[in-house]
Amino acid sequence: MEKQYAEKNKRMAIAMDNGIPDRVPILSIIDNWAFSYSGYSIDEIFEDDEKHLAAFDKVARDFYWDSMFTVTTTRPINYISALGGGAYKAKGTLQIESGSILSMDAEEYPDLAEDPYKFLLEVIAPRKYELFRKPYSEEKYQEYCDAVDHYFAFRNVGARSAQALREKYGVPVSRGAVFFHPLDMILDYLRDFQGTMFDIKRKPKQIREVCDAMLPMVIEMVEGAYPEPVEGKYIFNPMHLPEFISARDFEKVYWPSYKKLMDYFTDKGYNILCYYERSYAHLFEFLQDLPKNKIVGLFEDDDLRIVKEKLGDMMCFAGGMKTFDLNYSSKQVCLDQAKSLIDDLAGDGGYIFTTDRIPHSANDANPENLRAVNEFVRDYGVYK
Amino acid sequence: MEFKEFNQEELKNEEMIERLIKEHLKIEDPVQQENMKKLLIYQILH
Repeated sequence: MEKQYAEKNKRMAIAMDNGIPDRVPILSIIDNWAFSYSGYSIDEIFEDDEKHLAAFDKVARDFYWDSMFTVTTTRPINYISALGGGAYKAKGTLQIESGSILSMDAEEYPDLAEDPYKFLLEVIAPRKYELFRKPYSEEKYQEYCDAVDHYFAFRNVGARSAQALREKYGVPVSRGAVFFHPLDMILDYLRDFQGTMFDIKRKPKQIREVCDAMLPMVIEMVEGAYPEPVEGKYIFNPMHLPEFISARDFEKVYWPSYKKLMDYFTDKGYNILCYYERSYAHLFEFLQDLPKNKIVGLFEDDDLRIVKEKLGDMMCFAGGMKTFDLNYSSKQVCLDQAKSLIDDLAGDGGYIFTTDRIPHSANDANPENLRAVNEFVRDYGVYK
Repeated sequence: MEFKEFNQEELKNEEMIERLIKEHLKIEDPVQQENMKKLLIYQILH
């Protein structure tokens, strides 16, 4: 299995550097779909780590993969629940509780910029969580110990899962760390959609300054989790806000700190997989200025043939296999689509085959179609 | 939107985190303690 593991890692590494590997790598970006596929509810897997592990074991066993971007779900729900608050809830799938994000006032940007950690601890924590609102007591301390135990138990499931899949199936986990752009943190956790959109229009300079002030925190969190670049791995960067803002606003509030992060990590030798959620056609000109051949662009709604034309000489790109068709279309339609992707996109390397969006729900993929396209690409996507 | 003000002296959240790092996680190295404190504060963002 170690030989397979090394081969797969190499395949991913070459493709991520925009090169031509021996064949097109096949990446799993499956998330919570693993649970429905394995017959478990989201509640069950948070109650029983063995079911959590078994679900991703089944996905690794039943389908061909060169790499998996995660082998657990993404949120430590037991930890969040123990703190008593937060935005994410397990309700059939992981969902954001309506009205639970807004926890910062528009006038507080200078405080956030002055000391992000202090602001999160002293201002945001008690607003977000019942536990952090309580007067200090021995009981509160013990509750916090229990919550943090849940957090590390969750991380331990990830480590166990990655090790088991390596030993049993020779499948690597390609995600070394995750980061969010500071403005995506503000959107996702502090100001919510309406507040963030207003702030971008009303105080772009403050937004730009606070994003710069939060960069050390982003870097510290990545380097704490993933201290040195490792072959076949990347830093995962899901991007949420840019699809909603104009190129003009993107240039003012998002691009400067985004470019700094991309330069910083790629200068240190890291690959970064940017998940360009929904459409980025209006921002392709900016993306052309990113560091060459260290970025993987995972595109959702953009036409990958246009992506290849505009960005193919400077970044590896991934995606293309429509989850809609995987679930609702025939096997032949899916196979034809997979063949077309390989024929049109993979010719000169720098292409990773995967779905066009993260499979979360049961109806994000018919397993038979998924199995068929992965096996097809494994056999057809060979560079000669 | 109005947010309630909290008295940091009553909450003692920072002291709680520092105590947990030393007593519960048993981290002795000051650099690692500081890194863990930052990680746990960052984990407020959910």
